[in-house]
Amino acid sequence: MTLRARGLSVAVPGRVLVDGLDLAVAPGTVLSVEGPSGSGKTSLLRVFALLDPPAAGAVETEAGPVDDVPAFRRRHVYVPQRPVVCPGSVEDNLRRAFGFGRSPDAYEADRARTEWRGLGLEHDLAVDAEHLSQGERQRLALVRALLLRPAALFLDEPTSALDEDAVVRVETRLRAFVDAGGAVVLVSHDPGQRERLATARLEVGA
Amino acid sequence: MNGAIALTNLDLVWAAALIVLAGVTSLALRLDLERQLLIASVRTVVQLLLVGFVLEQVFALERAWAVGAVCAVMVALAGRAAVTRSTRTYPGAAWAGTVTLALAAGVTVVIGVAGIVGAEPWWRAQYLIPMLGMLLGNSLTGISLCLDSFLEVVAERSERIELDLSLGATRWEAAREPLQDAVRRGMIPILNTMTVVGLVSLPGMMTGQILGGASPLLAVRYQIVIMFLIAVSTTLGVVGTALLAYRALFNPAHQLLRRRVRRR
Repeated sequence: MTLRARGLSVAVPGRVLVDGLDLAVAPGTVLSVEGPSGSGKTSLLRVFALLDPPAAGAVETEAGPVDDVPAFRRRHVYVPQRPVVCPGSVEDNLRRAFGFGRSPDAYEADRARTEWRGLGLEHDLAVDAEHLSQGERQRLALVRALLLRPAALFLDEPTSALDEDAVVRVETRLRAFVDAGGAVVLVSHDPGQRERLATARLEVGA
Repeated sequence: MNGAIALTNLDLVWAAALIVLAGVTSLALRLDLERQLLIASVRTVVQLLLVGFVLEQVFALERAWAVGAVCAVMVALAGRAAVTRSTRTYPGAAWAGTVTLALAAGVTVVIGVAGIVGAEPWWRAQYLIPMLGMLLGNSLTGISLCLDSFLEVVAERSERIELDLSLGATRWEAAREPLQDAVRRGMIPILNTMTVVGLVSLPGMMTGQILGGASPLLAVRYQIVIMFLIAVSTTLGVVGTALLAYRALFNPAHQLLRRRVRRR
């Protein structure tokens, strides 16, 4: 499912960050959003995920304008730079997406364990999520997003707190996700990572 | 049954003399409270005399419009107070607070005065005004606590709400927990009061009636009625406030408009 920005403008009070952006993100692509600090990369990502209203224009899917926003967000998941961990175990956190009334599918425990181990995490899923390190939390957030079987991921600095080995694992997983037809919009400060993953680039705030 | 013993202006002077004693204590202990004590005392006298004067006229007039006007002023002041007491606000909060209070306390007081007490006519100032005052005073405390709680979550812990939104929660699913917490917080004072009423202190209205010459058992009956009315009015006010804040801070696109929340 191709994601489209139509005349998309993103603004924060007193400043226009992105003006009239027209863009398509097709399945199997990684769009790297680049630009200096404060240029609006995160703001653009949040608007893509429909978490903030755009100043003008719209985000659409192939089917046209998005009318069921929660359903869109389940298929196009935003993962912020500072991952949010809720009280409870790792598994409670992974299950969280499946606790909402209209959630169409069920939590798969086996898949969760496989994804978790695949990103190099050894802990049992029963451990208290509050005890995880920042890097472990980042991966928890990524697994939580992947369990929804999304069409696209909006990733804001997904590996900023990870060691080299973990970065390799995350990138490998993301490549598999894209090869299987997923799309990624990526913000990363690591030029090497952008080089390795990106199939398209977007410069903001230049 | 006898009425209260009449107080003369001379009696007020004696009470004021006692306040001077408090002022002397402040001076002796260097508490620096004399000025505040003086201002507070003057305000007490002026405000209460003013209210007494207005109420005397309204009671004598026995006209629905006059009672209505007093009630409207009370609601407006209470609505403002409810919202200005909380540390954060959003555009339209004052309006929302006033409307909620007016509906919550208004509906409850009419049920109380017309339905339960059975005053004739139902808007009789002697019953309507003091009871409305008590409902407003208690409900506004609950409303400001509720608003504080909800706006604090939206301002300080928006990530949790946005996590749920980004995982496909509807705005209602994402807001439900903070809304429930806010409603609970708003209800705590009245629940606490109801739990210890009569044990720790005698409520003001009951004390007033006893001083006014009513039998303690009659005073207690009134107090029970008013407690339940306060609980109902607070519940309505707190729930209404929470829902209006929810509507103002979440748009139909299931987005959290956290920038609307401001510190005052």
